[in-house]
Amino acid sequence: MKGTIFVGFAEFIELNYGLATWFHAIEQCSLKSDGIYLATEIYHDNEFELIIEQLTISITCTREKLLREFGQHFFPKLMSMAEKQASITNLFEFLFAIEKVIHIELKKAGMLITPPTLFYDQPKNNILIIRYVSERKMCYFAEGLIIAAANFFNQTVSISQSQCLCKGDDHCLIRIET
Amino acid sequence: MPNTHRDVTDELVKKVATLEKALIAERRAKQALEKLIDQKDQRNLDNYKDLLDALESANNRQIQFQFLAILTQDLLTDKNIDEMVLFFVLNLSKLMENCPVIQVISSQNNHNSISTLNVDGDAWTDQPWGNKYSNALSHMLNQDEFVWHREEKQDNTTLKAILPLLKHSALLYLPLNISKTEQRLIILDIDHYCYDNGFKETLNIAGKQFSSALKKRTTEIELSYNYLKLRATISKLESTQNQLIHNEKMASLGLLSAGVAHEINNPIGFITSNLHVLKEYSDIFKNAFDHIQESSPILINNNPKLAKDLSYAREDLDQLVSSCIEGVNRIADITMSLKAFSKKEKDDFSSINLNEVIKSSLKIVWNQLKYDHLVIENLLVNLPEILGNYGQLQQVLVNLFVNSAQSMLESGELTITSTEIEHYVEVSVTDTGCGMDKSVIKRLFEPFYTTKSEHKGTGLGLSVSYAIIEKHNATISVNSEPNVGSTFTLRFPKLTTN
Repeated sequence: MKGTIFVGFAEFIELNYGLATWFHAIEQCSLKSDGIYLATEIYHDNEFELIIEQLTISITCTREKLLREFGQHFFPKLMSMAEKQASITNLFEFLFAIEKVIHIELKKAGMLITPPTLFYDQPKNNILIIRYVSERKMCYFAEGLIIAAANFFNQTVSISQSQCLCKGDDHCLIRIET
Repeated sequence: MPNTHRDVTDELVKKVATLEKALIAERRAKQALEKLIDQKDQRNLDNYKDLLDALESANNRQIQFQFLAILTQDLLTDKNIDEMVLFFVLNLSKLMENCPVIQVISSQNNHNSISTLNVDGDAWTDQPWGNKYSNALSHMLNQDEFVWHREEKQDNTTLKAILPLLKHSALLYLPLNISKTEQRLIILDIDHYCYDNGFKETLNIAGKQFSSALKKRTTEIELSYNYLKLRATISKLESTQNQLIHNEKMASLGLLSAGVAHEINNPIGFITSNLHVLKEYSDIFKNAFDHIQESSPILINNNPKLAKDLSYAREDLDQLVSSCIEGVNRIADITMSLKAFSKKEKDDFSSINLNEVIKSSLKIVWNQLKYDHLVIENLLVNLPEILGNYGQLQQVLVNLFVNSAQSMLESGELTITSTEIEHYVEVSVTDTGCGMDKSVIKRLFEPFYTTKSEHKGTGLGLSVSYAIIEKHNATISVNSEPNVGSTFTLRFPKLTTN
């Protein structure tokens, strides 16, 4: 996972729960990186899971809620990265751009061949279905991004997941209707 | 004391403020550093962008090309339509995460069927057809062929009737026009259609490729079927042509025979008559010679040469005249046979039981058969009657029995079979004689053609038999193999169908 996510997550936790909460969580996990993250580097996915698990205990919050709120917090950062790749004027254009951003950021960090994690299908103009395939299980983070993006573009949206990696399915199927 | 406490607190506050400034400065430095590294990474990426894009594209396409290659390879094999469809569908299902597949076959004569291929299945399972499916499926079959169409279950009321057949939320279907009388529908029962554009393009190419291959195979099958029909027609035409040529030849020979017979008849008549008179005269001369020799022997004995010649002439005269009469009688027989061969008018016909004709014919030739050959009769009891001329049919059968006996040089078997086949009565005469080769069979029914030695036959027996059979609206055919034997088969229409 790119360091950008770790750095963004640290900012989110510091802003909402205090720096002490972040350092406490770091100290409780045995992290190879010792909790020191550069946005341009790649770190093991496992570190993120360990930090989240610790935080859900220390701030008494579900993983789902934490990730969704983080997604909403991270939207501006991701939007600025996406705007460098393409003109984005609505929610669906932003969502289409995410996979490209992920792809480029991983390549910049030296991961030249990476399988895609997001696949899209637009059966109608107001419906987008995203298939998310990744061991990182960041589907709730994605939901947070979607909610923040919809607010940003002043679009009402309904989100549903018919399948979820967290429930043991092979992929997440997120259906977004505006 | 209070001043010391305030000083410590002020000291701590200053330290915290200094630390906060240091933290902020560190953070800014870190962010600046990250920005520099990011820019450097971006520049490096830009330098290799085209190469990386090409590599990525090649990797992405590899699986899809492999899939298309497998399909293409299969399309080149010699499979029938059902096998082609099954192979295509099995591979599609694997590609689409082992999705269930439904096949609909719709024929012009309303023979419709539905079958399903379940997850991990390798053969179709037939499902009961319901008339309620007709509207939904007819709507799908009328869409553009060769192209994948996509539907969401919940949004489409037309599909309502077939919903019980579907397990997932979406479907992809491909209409296929197999022929003018048959259409098929391949329905992929899918969870989602979230794939990259390259994948979807591959699916479209596979669909078009398969549709083309199906059309090609259907055309090949039609061509093959037409070719077989054509060959059969050509064969029939050749056979008919041969038959027409043969009939024409026989008709020409018949005319010739009639002409010859007519011309010969008159001279035969007066030669026969004159020969009988000559015989009478020769008897008179013999009596006169005997009388002269008796009453005046010296008259003849004085000339020994004359006596000798007269003696020879007397002895030979009877034989010569008899021989001439025999020859002329033979010519008369031949003439009669020729006339019979060329005779066109209908004779007296009545209902005939062929088994009776067979038995009476056997009696006629029994002497030629009983000592050397085994005769086997397989005659159908209650053989249906035919319309025919008893005498003529007997003539045919006698001719066949005699030919068979003569072909079996030492001992052999003669089998006579009578049977009923649909609207016909069939009689076959099989011998274990010397048989005939193709060149003989070809000329068998020609007048005067014979394989027997001179004076053993006129060569008219089978040609007359042929004519008789034709007059009975029947057919005669022969199968023969040298050194094995021959079978003559006569086929007559049953009396009820005349």
